[in-house]
Amino acid sequence: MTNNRVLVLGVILSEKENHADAIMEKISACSDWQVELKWHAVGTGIVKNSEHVISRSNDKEEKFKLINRILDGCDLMSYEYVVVCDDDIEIPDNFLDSYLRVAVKRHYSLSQPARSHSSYTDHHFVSQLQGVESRETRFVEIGPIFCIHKSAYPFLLPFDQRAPMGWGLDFHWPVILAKNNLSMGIIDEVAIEHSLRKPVAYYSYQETQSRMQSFLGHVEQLSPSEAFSAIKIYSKGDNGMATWRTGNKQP
Amino acid sequence: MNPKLSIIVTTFNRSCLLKKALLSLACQTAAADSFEIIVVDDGSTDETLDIVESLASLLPLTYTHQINSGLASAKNHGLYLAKGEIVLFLDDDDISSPELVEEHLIAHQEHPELNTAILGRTQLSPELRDDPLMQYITNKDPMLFFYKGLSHNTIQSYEYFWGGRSSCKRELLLKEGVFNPIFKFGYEDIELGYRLSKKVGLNVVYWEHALNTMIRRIDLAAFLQRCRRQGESAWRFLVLHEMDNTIKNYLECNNLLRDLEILGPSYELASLSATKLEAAVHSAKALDFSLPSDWTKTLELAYHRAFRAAISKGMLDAKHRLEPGKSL
Repeated sequence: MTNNRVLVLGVILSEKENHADAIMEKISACSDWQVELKWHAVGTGIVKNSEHVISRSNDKEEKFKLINRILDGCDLMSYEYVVVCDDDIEIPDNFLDSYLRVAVKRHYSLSQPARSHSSYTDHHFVSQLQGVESRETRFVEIGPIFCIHKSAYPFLLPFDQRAPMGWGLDFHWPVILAKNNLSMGIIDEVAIEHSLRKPVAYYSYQETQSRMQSFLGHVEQLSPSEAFSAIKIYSKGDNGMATWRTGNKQP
Repeated sequence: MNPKLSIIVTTFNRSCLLKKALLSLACQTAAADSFEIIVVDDGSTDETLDIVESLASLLPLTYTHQINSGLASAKNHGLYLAKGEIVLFLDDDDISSPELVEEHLIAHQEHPELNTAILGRTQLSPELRDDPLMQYITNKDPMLFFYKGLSHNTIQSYEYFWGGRSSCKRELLLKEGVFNPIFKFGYEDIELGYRLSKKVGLNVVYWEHALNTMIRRIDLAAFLQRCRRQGESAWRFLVLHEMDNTIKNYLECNNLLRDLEILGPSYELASLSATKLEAAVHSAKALDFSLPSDWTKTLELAYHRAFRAAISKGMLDAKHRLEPGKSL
């Protein structure tokens, strides 16, 4: 049974320049869903919408550890979706309503918005396609924002602590979801801008990279070549056409 | 098993030409399971879908659709669906030689480096070869494709990363950069090549055995329109890379930039002159009048002026539209 509750959680680097207030305001303006925001703030900087900050710490801890701590106190199954969000992205007006409309329509158990082309990009595959609503993929990246449907909570949550900054999870997730017949996708119609802070600005690339390698040494994963090939792409519009291939034609 | 090579054909309202282009891919010498064809329909309103459906039993086809968004986005669309190690971008108005796919595969085998792309050769179909405009833009003035001075299997710069006849490793694009969707028409390929050259030292190897044939006659009005759109894209290219001198030199636009305000407004007159002169030459030919040889030179001069004016007009329009502070 579906309900309309959505949990949006994230970590604010309150002493660094961030867009947390704008994100919280835009997400709170959502009209189709009952949204709860639960954020952790690192540092002593001011957060305008402090009612959404449920915990604080002075030292930067690993992101997914903090997220797991927030999740720990939540009755997860009472939320239809959990959205995990960084504080340095720009989202359009009506973001959550527009985004979830597509996620629901396409039954994506795990999804992310595409990134604008002017964003910092770790994987070009997530760059926005214009004229397209969304694509069913074998890849959803671990940040700066992604969304999990409750059908995937048992398989993805809490986040695997062997990848404390999340690196590598995105190549492991598709294996888990495929085993459980769940689909994942990138929503192009609703893209975000990620250009405020360079990724890896406040933690060690080398150390995180080596922990990712160690994590990937223990789990099943897709290669980048497998991960970066979409299964199906849906054109924009109410009757958005889906990709078909010879042999599995779906007009 | 995944195919070795993915052909990406972007198309917009050219169903008749597309049919011929796709049919030419049905008789390739490369093994049938070594390649796939991805047709990206950039919002066509003609019979494109019917044509692709009618060929579905003949070819390893993928059809995918987007609301009209331009070439760059359409190419990325195809790239994100591709499964091959190599992606080959083809135009919807070119007929492939039977060896085309095989030759691209051989070329990549010989040049396995990630940063090496392959440029194939495009020739004009026999019925286009005596057309003065088609001759001019492919043999006299490098406006369309222009192979003078290129030798087989030689390394060229990013300036030869020409869309519609080039292939590269899929991994190169997914790792280092994709087409920028601000380019709706023109320079989406060169701009990407430029970025790749800066990041990973892109090399483009010219491989003349990878041959296809252009079958679409472009008339003067359409070519002038094309020049205007390319002018707009050229301006975006320059602004995006902060008027980089390398790009200015590539576009050979230092003079154009200096004279933009003069050349742009001369567009109407220059295009009218070229149109009238061309009509006169066509009439004379139709009536079998022998023309003095300097008529050809005069017509070419008229083409030259009209195309420069059209490019300037496009640049000027883009310049006015993209005043500082406005998004590209």
